[in-house]
Amino acid sequence: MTIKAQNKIIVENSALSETLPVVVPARVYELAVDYCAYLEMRSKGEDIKRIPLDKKESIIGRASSCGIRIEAPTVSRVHAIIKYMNEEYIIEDMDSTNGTFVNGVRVKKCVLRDNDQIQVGQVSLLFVEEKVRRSW
Amino acid sequence: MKPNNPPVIEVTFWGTRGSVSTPGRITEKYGGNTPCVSVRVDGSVIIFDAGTGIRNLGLELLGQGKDNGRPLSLHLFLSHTHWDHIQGLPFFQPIYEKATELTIYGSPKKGKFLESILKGQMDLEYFPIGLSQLEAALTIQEISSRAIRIGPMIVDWQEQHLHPGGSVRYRISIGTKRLVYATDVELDLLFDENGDPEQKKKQLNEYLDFIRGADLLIADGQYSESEYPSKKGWGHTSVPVLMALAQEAEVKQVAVFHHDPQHSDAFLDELWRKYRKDVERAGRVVTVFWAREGMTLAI
Repeated sequence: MTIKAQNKIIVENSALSETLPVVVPARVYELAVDYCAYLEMRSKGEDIKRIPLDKKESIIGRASSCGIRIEAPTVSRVHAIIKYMNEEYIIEDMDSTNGTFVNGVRVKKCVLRDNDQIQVGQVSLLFVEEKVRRSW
Repeated sequence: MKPNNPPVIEVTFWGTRGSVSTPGRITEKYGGNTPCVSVRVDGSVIIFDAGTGIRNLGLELLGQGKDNGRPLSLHLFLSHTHWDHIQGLPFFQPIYEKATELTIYGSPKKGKFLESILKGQMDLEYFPIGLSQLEAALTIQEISSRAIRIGPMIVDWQEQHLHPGGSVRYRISIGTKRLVYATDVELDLLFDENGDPEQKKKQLNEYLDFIRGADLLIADGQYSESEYPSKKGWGHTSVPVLMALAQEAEVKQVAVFHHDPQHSDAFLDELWRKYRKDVERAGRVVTVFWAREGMTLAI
Protein backbone atom coordinates (compact mmCIF):
# COMPACT_ATOMS: atom_id res chain seq x y z
CA MET A 1 0.00 0.00 0.00
CA THR A 2 1.36 3.44 -0.88
CA ILE A 3 0.39 6.61 0.96
CA LYS A 4 1.37 9.98 -0.46
CA ALA A 5 2.15 12.35 2.39
CA GLN A 6 3.45 15.89 2.21
CA ASN A 7 6.58 15.66 0.03
CA LYS A 8 7.02 12.05 1.04
CA ILE A 9 5.81 8.67 -0.15
CA ILE A 10 5.43 6.10 2.55
CA VAL A 11 5.26 2.51 1.38
CA GLU A 12 3.51 0.27 3.85
CA ASN A 13 3.45 -3.44 3.49
CA SER A 14 1.92 -5.65 6.14
CA ALA A 15 4.00 -8.59 4.99
CA LEU A 16 7.04 -6.66 6.06
CA SER A 17 5.57 -5.53 9.36
CA GLU A 18 8.84 -5.97 11.18
CA THR A 19 10.55 -3.43 9.00
CA LEU A 20 10.17 0.30 9.14
CA PRO A 21 8.12 2.00 6.40
CA VAL A 22 10.26 2.95 3.43
CA VAL A 23 10.40 6.68 2.95
CA VAL A 24 11.04 7.79 -0.62
CA PRO A 25 11.67 11.50 -1.22
CA ALA A 26 9.07 13.00 -3.56
CA ARG A 27 12.03 14.32 -5.57
CA VAL A 28 11.94 11.06 -7.64
CA TYR A 29 9.15 12.58 -9.69
CA GLU A 30 11.41 15.39 -10.80
CA LEU A 31 13.99 12.88 -11.94
CA ALA A 32 11.65 11.06 -14.31
CA VAL A 33 13.16 10.80 -17.78
CA ASP A 34 11.76 10.73 -21.24
CA TYR A 35 13.32 10.40 -24.67
CA CYS A 36 13.31 12.73 -27.60
CA ALA A 37 14.72 11.99 -31.02
CA TYR A 38 15.75 14.00 -34.02
CA LEU A 39 17.70 13.76 -37.24
CA GLU A 40 20.75 15.85 -37.97
CA MET A 41 21.42 16.82 -41.55
CA ARG A 42 24.68 18.39 -42.67
CA SER A 43 24.88 20.22 -45.96
CA LYS A 44 27.87 21.99 -47.46
CA GLY A 45 28.20 25.58 -46.30
CA GLU A 46 25.19 25.39 -44.01
CA ASP A 47 24.70 24.93 -40.30
CA ILE A 48 23.68 21.52 -39.07
CA LYS A 49 19.94 21.20 -39.47
CA ARG A 50 18.04 19.52 -36.66
CA ILE A 51 14.80 17.77 -37.69
CA PRO A 52 12.65 16.77 -34.71
CA LEU A 53 10.90 13.38 -34.81
CA ASP A 54 7.91 14.46 -32.80
CA LYS A 55 5.17 12.71 -34.76
CA LYS A 56 4.06 9.10 -34.80
CA GLU A 57 5.03 8.91 -38.45
CA SER A 58 7.38 11.10 -40.47
CA ILE A 59 7.73 10.51 -44.20
CA ILE A 60 11.03 11.41 -45.88
CA GLY A 61 10.99 12.32 -49.56
CA ARG A 62 11.06 14.98 -52.28
CA ALA A 63 7.28 15.36 -52.50
CA SER A 64 5.76 18.44 -50.96
CA SER A 65 3.43 16.22 -48.91
CA CYS A 66 6.38 14.70 -47.01
CA GLY A 67 6.87 15.76 -43.41
CA ILE A 68 10.63 15.65 -43.92
CA ARG A 69 11.13 17.12 -47.34
CA ILE A 70 14.57 16.73 -48.89
CA GLU A 71 14.98 18.21 -52.33
CA ALA A 72 17.83 16.10 -53.65
CA PRO A 73 17.75 14.22 -56.98
CA THR A 74 18.81 10.89 -55.41
CA VAL A 75 15.92 10.98 -52.94
CA SER A 76 12.65 9.45 -54.20
CA ARG A 77 9.40 11.41 -54.05
CA VAL A 78 8.31 9.19 -51.16
CA HIS A 79 11.51 7.55 -49.94
CA ALA A 80 11.21 6.25 -46.36
CA ILE A 81 9.12 6.53 -43.24
CA ILE A 82 10.16 6.79 -39.60
CA LYS A 83 7.54 5.40 -37.24
CA TYR A 84 7.39 5.63 -33.47
CA MET A 85 6.03 2.32 -32.19
CA ASN A 86 6.31 0.63 -28.81
CA GLU A 87 8.67 3.37 -27.64
CA GLU A 88 11.04 2.71 -30.54
CA TYR A 89 11.81 4.55 -33.76
CA ILE A 90 11.73 2.34 -36.85
CA ILE A 91 12.79 3.39 -40.33
CA GLU A 92 11.23 1.66 -43.33
CA ASP A 93 12.14 2.06 -46.97
CA MET A 94 9.15 2.85 -49.19
CA ASP A 95 10.39 1.11 -52.33
CA SER A 96 12.74 3.98 -53.08
CA THR A 97 14.94 3.89 -56.15
CA ASN A 98 18.28 4.41 -54.43
CA GLY A 99 17.57 2.67 -51.16
CA THR A 100 17.69 3.40 -47.45
CA PHE A 101 20.85 2.54 -45.55
CA VAL A 102 21.59 2.29 -41.85
CA ASN A 103 25.28 2.32 -41.00
CA GLY A 104 26.09 1.34 -44.57
CA VAL A 105 23.64 -1.60 -44.78
CA ARG A 106 20.74 -1.36 -47.22
CA VAL A 107 17.65 -2.09 -45.18
CA LYS A 108 13.98 -2.63 -45.79
CA LYS A 109 13.26 -1.85 -42.17
CA CYS A 110 15.36 -1.19 -39.07
CA VAL A 111 14.90 -0.24 -35.45
CA LEU A 112 16.97 2.92 -34.95
CA ARG A 113 19.44 3.47 -32.15
CA ASP A 114 21.29 6.57 -31.03
CA ASN A 115 24.03 7.62 -33.45
CA ASP A 116 22.83 5.49 -36.35
CA GLN A 117 23.90 6.94 -39.68
CA ILE A 118 21.03 6.91 -42.13
CA GLN A 119 21.45 7.39 -45.85
CA VAL A 120 18.54 8.14 -48.16
CA GLY A 121 19.79 8.36 -51.71
CA GLN A 122 23.02 10.28 -51.27
CA VAL A 123 21.78 12.30 -48.32
CA SER A 124 23.23 11.47 -44.92
CA LEU A 125 21.31 11.89 -41.71
CA LEU A 126 22.31 11.17 -38.14
CA PHE A 127 19.69 9.72 -35.82
CA VAL A 128 20.02 11.09 -32.31
CA GLU A 129 18.02 9.88 -29.34
CA GLU A 130 18.42 11.91 -26.18
CA LYS A 131 17.28 11.40 -22.69
CA VAL A 132 15.55 14.48 -21.31
CA ARG A 133 14.48 15.22 -17.78
CA ARG A 134 10.83 15.97 -17.24
CA SER A 135 9.35 17.40 -14.10
CA TRP A 136 5.77 16.36 -13.46
CA MET B 1 5.61 -7.25 -58.59
CA LYS B 2 6.30 -6.99 -62.30
CA PRO B 3 6.06 -10.40 -64.05
CA ASN B 4 9.75 -10.83 -64.87
CA ASN B 5 11.22 -9.35 -61.72
CA PRO B 6 12.83 -11.89 -59.40
CA PRO B 7 10.95 -12.06 -56.09
CA VAL B 8 12.35 -10.04 -53.21
CA ILE B 9 13.67 -12.03 -50.24
CA GLU B 10 12.94 -10.32 -46.95
CA VAL B 11 15.25 -11.37 -44.14
CA THR B 12 14.52 -10.24 -40.58
CA PHE B 13 16.69 -10.74 -37.52
CA TRP B 14 14.57 -11.52 -34.44
CA GLY B 15 17.42 -12.78 -32.28
CA THR B 16 21.16 -12.47 -32.85
CA ARG B 17 22.70 -13.30 -29.47
CA GLY B 18 24.50 -16.57 -28.81
CA SER B 19 24.39 -18.89 -25.83
CA VAL B 20 21.95 -17.05 -23.56
CA SER B 21 19.61 -14.08 -23.81
CA THR B 22 21.08 -10.82 -22.58
CA PRO B 23 18.43 -8.18 -21.91
CA GLY B 24 19.64 -4.78 -20.75
CA ARG B 25 20.69 -1.36 -21.88
CA ILE B 26 24.17 -2.31 -23.03
CA THR B 27 22.81 -4.85 -25.52
CA GLU B 28 19.72 -3.10 -26.85
CA LYS B 29 21.27 -2.05 -30.18
CA TYR B 30 22.32 -5.50 -31.40
CA GLY B 31 19.72 -7.21 -29.27
CA GLY B 32 19.56 -9.66 -26.42
CA ASN B 33 17.37 -12.41 -27.86
CA THR B 34 18.89 -15.72 -28.93
CA PRO B 35 18.93 -16.86 -32.60
CA CYS B 36 15.93 -16.54 -34.83
CA VAL B 37 15.81 -15.29 -38.43
CA SER B 38 12.77 -15.19 -40.71
CA VAL B 39 12.91 -15.32 -44.50
CA ARG B 40 9.83 -14.37 -46.48
CA VAL B 41 9.22 -14.58 -50.19
CA ASP B 42 5.82 -14.07 -51.79
CA GLY B 43 3.95 -15.10 -48.64
CA SER B 44 6.08 -18.18 -47.89
CA VAL B 45 7.83 -18.07 -44.52
CA ILE B 46 10.95 -19.92 -43.46
CA ILE B 47 12.34 -19.55 -39.96
CA PHE B 48 15.86 -20.40 -38.91
CA ASP B 49 16.12 -21.46 -35.28
CA ALA B 50 13.77 -20.98 -32.37
CA GLY B 51 15.80 -18.97 -29.87
CA THR B 52 14.01 -16.46 -27.69
CA GLY B 53 13.70 -14.08 -30.66
CA ILE B 54 10.97 -16.29 -32.12
CA ARG B 55 8.51 -14.95 -29.54
CA ASN B 56 8.35 -11.53 -31.20
CA LEU B 57 8.17 -13.10 -34.66
CA GLY B 58 5.14 -15.10 -33.49
CA LEU B 59 3.36 -11.97 -32.33
CA GLU B 60 3.98 -10.25 -35.65
CA LEU B 61 2.83 -13.26 -37.68
CA LEU B 62 -0.39 -13.50 -35.70
CA GLY B 63 -1.02 -9.78 -36.18
CA GLN B 64 -0.58 -10.14 -39.93
CA GLY B 65 -2.68 -13.31 -40.00
CA LYS B 66 -5.55 -11.43 -38.40
CA ASP B 67 -5.16 -8.69 -41.02
CA ASN B 68 -5.27 -10.99 -44.05
CA GLY B 69 -7.37 -13.79 -42.55
CA ARG B 70 -5.12 -16.50 -43.97
CA PRO B 71 -3.93 -19.48 -41.89
CA LEU B 72 -0.21 -19.59 -41.15
CA SER B 73 1.95 -22.15 -42.92
CA LEU B 74 5.42 -22.03 -41.37
CA HIS B 75 8.66 -23.93 -41.87
CA LEU B 76 11.18 -23.91 -39.04
CA PHE B 77 14.72 -25.14 -39.76
CA LEU B 78 16.80 -25.87 -36.67
CA SER B 79 20.57 -25.59 -36.92
CA HIS B 80 20.78 -27.85 -33.87
CA THR B 81 19.05 -28.29 -30.56
CA HIS B 82 21.30 -26.49 -28.14
CA TRP B 83 19.22 -24.52 -25.73
CA ASP B 84 19.73 -21.07 -27.26
CA HIS B 85 18.30 -22.38 -30.57
CA ILE B 86 15.10 -23.99 -29.28
CA GLN B 87 14.22 -22.23 -26.06
CA GLY B 88 11.77 -19.79 -27.63
CA LEU B 89 9.58 -22.49 -29.20
CA PRO B 90 7.17 -22.89 -26.24
CA PHE B 91 6.63 -19.11 -26.37
CA PHE B 92 5.92 -18.99 -30.11
CA GLN B 93 2.27 -17.99 -30.02
CA PRO B 94 1.23 -19.44 -33.42
CA ILE B 95 1.70 -23.00 -32.07
CA TYR B 96 -1.35 -22.41 -29.86
CA GLU B 97 -3.55 -21.50 -32.84
CA LYS B 98 -5.59 -24.10 -34.74
CA ALA B 99 -5.04 -22.24 -37.98
CA THR B 100 -1.26 -22.78 -37.89
CA GLU B 101 0.63 -25.48 -39.74
CA LEU B 102 4.21 -25.75 -38.55
CA THR B 103 6.85 -28.09 -39.94
CA ILE B 104 10.08 -28.35 -37.98
CA TYR B 105 13.16 -29.64 -39.79
CA GLY B 106 16.38 -30.81 -38.22
CA SER B 107 19.39 -33.00 -38.72
CA PRO B 108 18.72 -36.67 -39.50
CA LYS B 109 21.76 -37.51 -37.39
CA LYS B 110 19.59 -37.08 -34.35
CA GLY B 111 17.11 -39.69 -35.66
CA LYS B 112 13.87 -39.77 -33.68
CA PHE B 113 15.84 -37.95 -31.06
CA LEU B 114 14.82 -34.57 -32.56
CA GLU B 115 11.20 -35.04 -31.55
CA SER B 116 12.14 -36.30 -28.11
CA ILE B 117 14.43 -33.32 -27.50
CA LEU B 118 11.68 -30.87 -28.40
CA LYS B 119 9.22 -32.83 -26.27
CA GLY B 120 11.74 -32.88 -23.46
CA GLN B 121 11.95 -29.12 -23.11
CA MET B 122 8.15 -29.04 -22.82
CA ASP B 123 7.94 -31.72 -20.15
CA LEU B 124 5.88 -30.69 -17.15
CA GLU B 125 9.05 -30.17 -15.11
CA TYR B 126 10.02 -27.34 -17.44
CA PHE B 127 6.82 -26.01 -18.99
CA PRO B 128 3.09 -26.33 -18.25
CA ILE B 129 1.98 -27.33 -21.78
CA GLY B 130 3.27 -30.42 -23.53
CA LEU B 131 4.27 -30.66 -27.19
CA SER B 132 1.37 -33.04 -27.88
CA GLN B 133 -1.16 -30.55 -26.47
CA LEU B 134 -0.54 -27.85 -29.06
CA GLU B 135 -3.42 -26.57 -31.16
CA ALA B 136 -1.32 -26.14 -34.29
CA ALA B 137 -0.81 -28.96 -36.79
CA LEU B 138 2.79 -29.86 -36.05
CA THR B 139 5.10 -32.01 -38.17
CA ILE B 140 8.65 -32.84 -37.19
CA GLN B 141 10.70 -33.87 -40.16
CA GLU B 142 14.28 -34.95 -40.44
CA ILE B 143 15.96 -33.51 -43.49
CA SER B 144 17.16 -35.92 -46.14
CA SER B 145 19.66 -35.60 -48.94
CA ARG B 146 16.94 -34.12 -51.14
CA ALA B 147 16.50 -30.37 -51.23
CA ILE B 148 13.18 -29.04 -49.94
CA ARG B 149 10.99 -26.70 -51.96
CA ILE B 150 8.91 -24.15 -50.08
CA GLY B 151 7.05 -21.78 -52.39
CA PRO B 152 9.71 -20.32 -54.67
CA MET B 153 12.53 -21.25 -52.24
CA ILE B 154 14.74 -24.31 -52.51
CA VAL B 155 16.49 -25.25 -49.28
CA ASP B 156 19.53 -27.50 -49.14
CA TRP B 157 21.88 -28.16 -46.27
CA GLN B 158 25.15 -29.59 -45.01
CA GLU B 159 26.22 -31.05 -41.69
CA GLN B 160 28.68 -28.94 -39.69
CA HIS B 161 31.01 -31.15 -37.68
CA LEU B 162 32.95 -28.41 -35.96
CA HIS B 163 30.53 -27.78 -33.12
CA PRO B 164 29.99 -29.88 -29.99
CA GLY B 165 27.15 -32.26 -30.93
CA GLY B 166 27.17 -31.03 -34.54
CA SER B 167 24.98 -28.53 -36.33
CA VAL B 168 23.50 -27.91 -39.79
CA ARG B 169 23.95 -25.04 -42.22
CA TYR B 170 21.20 -24.18 -44.67
CA ARG B 171 21.09 -22.46 -48.04
CA ILE B 172 18.06 -20.92 -49.71
CA SER B 173 18.14 -20.51 -53.48
CA ILE B 174 15.69 -18.58 -55.61
CA GLY B 175 16.83 -18.27 -59.20
CA THR B 176 20.32 -16.84 -58.95
CA LYS B 177 19.86 -15.48 -55.42
CA ARG B 178 21.48 -17.30 -52.51
CA LEU B 179 21.14 -16.91 -48.77
CA VAL B 180 23.16 -19.02 -46.34
CA TYR B 181 22.51 -19.50 -42.64
CA ALA B 182 25.62 -21.05 -41.06
CA THR B 183 25.86 -20.50 -37.34
CA ASP B 184 27.45 -22.50 -34.52
CA VAL B 185 30.55 -23.79 -36.23
CA GLU B 186 34.21 -23.40 -35.31
CA LEU B 187 35.84 -22.74 -38.67
CA ASP B 188 39.15 -21.84 -36.99
CA LEU B 189 39.70 -25.58 -36.42
CA LEU B 190 40.06 -26.05 -40.19
CA PHE B 191 43.39 -24.23 -39.88
CA ASP B 192 44.51 -25.92 -36.68
CA GLU B 193 47.71 -27.97 -36.76
CA ASN B 194 45.97 -30.99 -35.21
CA GLY B 195 43.79 -33.44 -37.13
CA ASP B 196 43.81 -35.02 -40.57
CA PRO B 197 44.87 -32.39 -43.16
CA GLU B 198 43.01 -34.16 -45.99
CA GLN B 199 39.80 -34.27 -44.00
CA LYS B 200 40.14 -30.60 -43.10
CA LYS B 201 40.83 -29.65 -46.71
CA LYS B 202 37.70 -31.52 -47.76
CA GLN B 203 35.60 -29.78 -45.11
CA LEU B 204 37.01 -26.38 -46.08
CA ASN B 205 36.18 -26.90 -49.75
CA GLU B 206 32.67 -28.07 -48.87
CA TYR B 207 32.14 -24.91 -46.84
CA LEU B 208 33.53 -22.61 -49.52
CA ASP B 209 31.41 -24.24 -52.23
CA PHE B 210 28.31 -23.96 -50.09
CA ILE B 211 28.68 -20.23 -49.40
CA ARG B 212 30.19 -19.25 -52.76
CA GLY B 213 28.71 -16.09 -54.23
CA ALA B 214 25.98 -15.86 -51.58
CA ASP B 215 24.01 -12.62 -51.62
CA LEU B 216 23.84 -12.88 -47.85
CA LEU B 217 25.81 -15.09 -45.48
CA ILE B 218 24.56 -15.14 -41.89
CA ALA B 219 27.47 -16.63 -40.04
CA ASP B 220 28.91 -17.37 -36.64
CA GLY B 221 31.54 -14.77 -35.70
CA GLN B 222 31.32 -14.90 -31.95
CA TYR B 223 34.91 -14.13 -31.01
CA SER B 224 37.49 -11.51 -31.75
CA GLU B 225 40.95 -12.67 -32.73
CA SER B 226 42.35 -12.08 -29.23
CA GLU B 227 39.47 -13.88 -27.51
CA TYR B 228 39.57 -17.02 -29.62
CA PRO B 229 42.59 -18.84 -28.09
CA SER B 230 40.90 -19.06 -24.68
CA LYS B 231 37.63 -20.27 -26.31
CA LYS B 232 39.10 -22.91 -28.57
CA GLY B 233 36.91 -26.01 -28.76
CA TRP B 234 33.75 -24.16 -27.74
CA GLY B 235 32.33 -24.45 -31.25
CA HIS B 236 32.41 -20.88 -32.55
CA THR B 237 34.36 -18.95 -35.16
CA SER B 238 36.60 -15.91 -34.82
CA VAL B 239 35.81 -12.88 -36.96
CA PRO B 240 39.05 -12.75 -39.01
CA VAL B 241 38.66 -16.38 -40.10
CA LEU B 242 35.05 -15.74 -41.15
CA MET B 243 36.07 -12.62 -43.10
CA ALA B 244 38.89 -14.42 -44.92
CA LEU B 245 36.63 -17.30 -45.97
CA ALA B 246 33.77 -15.01 -47.03
CA GLN B 247 36.17 -13.05 -49.20
CA GLU B 248 37.62 -16.17 -50.74
CA ALA B 249 34.13 -17.40 -51.60
CA GLU B 250 33.17 -13.97 -52.99
CA VAL B 251 30.20 -13.56 -50.69
CA LYS B 252 28.41 -10.27 -51.34
CA GLN B 253 27.17 -9.49 -47.85
CA VAL B 254 28.14 -10.95 -44.48
CA ALA B 255 25.99 -10.65 -41.36
CA VAL B 256 28.12 -11.55 -38.36
CA PHE B 257 25.85 -13.47 -36.03
CA HIS B 258 25.65 -15.30 -32.68
CA HIS B 259 27.09 -12.46 -30.62
CA ASP B 260 28.87 -13.38 -27.45
CA PRO B 261 26.75 -12.70 -24.33
CA GLN B 262 29.64 -10.70 -22.86
CA HIS B 263 29.83 -8.35 -25.84
CA SER B 264 28.19 -4.97 -25.29
CA ASP B 265 26.89 -2.75 -28.09
CA ALA B 266 29.97 -0.56 -27.72
CA PHE B 267 32.26 -3.56 -28.12
CA LEU B 268 30.41 -4.83 -31.20
CA ASP B 269 30.56 -1.32 -32.70
CA GLU B 270 34.31 -1.43 -32.14
CA LEU B 271 34.62 -4.83 -33.84
CA TRP B 272 32.54 -3.57 -36.76
CA ARG B 273 34.77 -0.52 -37.25
CA LYS B 274 37.97 -2.57 -37.04
CA TYR B 275 37.08 -5.51 -39.26
CA ARG B 276 35.04 -3.55 -41.75
CA LYS B 277 38.10 -1.47 -42.57
CA ASP B 278 40.18 -4.61 -43.09
CA VAL B 279 37.59 -6.06 -45.43
CA GLU B 280 37.07 -2.86 -47.38
CA ARG B 281 40.82 -2.60 -47.84
CA ALA B 282 40.81 -6.05 -49.40
CA GLY B 283 37.91 -4.81 -51.53
CA ARG B 284 36.08 -8.05 -52.26
CA VAL B 285 33.17 -8.38 -49.86
CA VAL B 286 30.63 -5.67 -50.53
CA THR B 287 29.15 -5.26 -47.05
CA VAL B 288 30.02 -6.56 -43.61
CA PHE B 289 27.82 -5.84 -40.64
CA TRP B 290 26.98 -7.19 -37.23
CA ALA B 291 23.41 -8.50 -37.33
CA ARG B 292 20.94 -6.41 -35.32
CA GLU B 293 17.65 -7.48 -33.83
CA GLY B 294 14.83 -5.60 -35.56
CA MET B 295 16.64 -5.26 -38.88
CA THR B 296 15.04 -6.37 -42.17
CA LEU B 297 16.98 -6.63 -45.41
CA ALA B 298 15.52 -6.98 -48.88
CA ILE B 299 17.67 -9.14 -51.13
